[in-house]
Amino acid sequence: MGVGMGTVFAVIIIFIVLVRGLMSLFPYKEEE
Amino acid sequence: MIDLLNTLIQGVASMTWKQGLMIVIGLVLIYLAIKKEYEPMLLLPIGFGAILTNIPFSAAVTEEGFLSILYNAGIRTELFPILIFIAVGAMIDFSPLLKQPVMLLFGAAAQFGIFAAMLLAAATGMFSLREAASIGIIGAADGPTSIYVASRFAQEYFGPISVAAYSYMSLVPIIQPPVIKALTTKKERMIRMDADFDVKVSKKVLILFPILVTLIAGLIAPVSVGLVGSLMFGNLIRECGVLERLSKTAQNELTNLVTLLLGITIGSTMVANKFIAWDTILILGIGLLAFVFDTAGGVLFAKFLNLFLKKKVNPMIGAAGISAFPMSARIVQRMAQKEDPTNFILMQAIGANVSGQIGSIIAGGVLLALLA
Repeated sequence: MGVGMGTVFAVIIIFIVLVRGLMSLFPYKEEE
Repeated sequence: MIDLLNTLIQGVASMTWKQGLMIVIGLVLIYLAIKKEYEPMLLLPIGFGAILTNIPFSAAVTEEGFLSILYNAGIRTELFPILIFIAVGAMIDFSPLLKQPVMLLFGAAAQFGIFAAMLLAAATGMFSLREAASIGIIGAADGPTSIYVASRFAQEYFGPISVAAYSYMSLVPIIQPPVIKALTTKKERMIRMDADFDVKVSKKVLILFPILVTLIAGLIAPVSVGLVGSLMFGNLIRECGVLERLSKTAQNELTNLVTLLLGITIGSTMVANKFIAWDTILILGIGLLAFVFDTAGGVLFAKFLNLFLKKKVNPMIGAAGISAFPMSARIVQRMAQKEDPTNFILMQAIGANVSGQIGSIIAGGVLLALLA
């Protein structure tokens, strides 16, 4: 159970970093 | 003449009590679908499929019967769940999640029920670890993921697992509120959450997100590519902006067609001799507990976070981290407004709920990878 939940959390944390990175790299611009 | 009569009453004479009971169960599912409107798109075909299968000497489930053909073509090959994932992907708007990525944590925490239920199923000694994982995945509150995992790991229990997954999804409004209430105080349920809803997501982010998630998940667990990839493919069709026709087809025609075939095929797995057994009752019981554990896991994780946060989160948000979208978010909002009619936490709950959809396929992928 620990391994399973640990892996899920690890992947999710990677996704959080990914989203934060994407949001700062490509901010919304008005012309969109 | 007597031979002819014998042939005509052969069906009635051969009916066992188990087949009779399964037909009654099929009728109950149809009743719930029509009268109570509990997931009618699924429960009605499932109920009718169960009736077709349990008619003695039914031609629908012989080797050349249409239900057998559908089962072999759509379930055994994993085609139906994959098509459903494409359709679901085309329907998901990830913006609420991209605006508040921290909500992804709740999508992870609320998968606790899957692993807890898996452990429980394995502890009974009646199921192998792979079968236990397929039972635990009922807690994903995500029908296609349950079907996908069960079709790989527990063909024998495919019927009860898929029926439990879809039935409990329709019962989320009944299962979640008492668990949330038992684990939170009135004061906690009244917590307000500020959110910057003005944040806008650029088109580039919306397009890159499904591609990068597929790549990352695929590189970590290649076995999950079918699950994650099809969902993200559907989402890419939606967000790319140049495939509107395909996006609409995936959201409407594809969803409707596959749901129709999937439901009746699931119903066809409800064969009396296999279904009316202690195993089934156990699977239904553990599946229900998986939903309870999921809800509890999400709420308790939010409470745990509150120990460290200056700006507290409403712990009910944690319960929305399951995949039942948008039902779970609506329940949380309704419960928050019941305590304080001016409290709006729907956007945060939607963010957690969308995260739950990602969390459930990741959990499914993790199980596939760990037990492959």
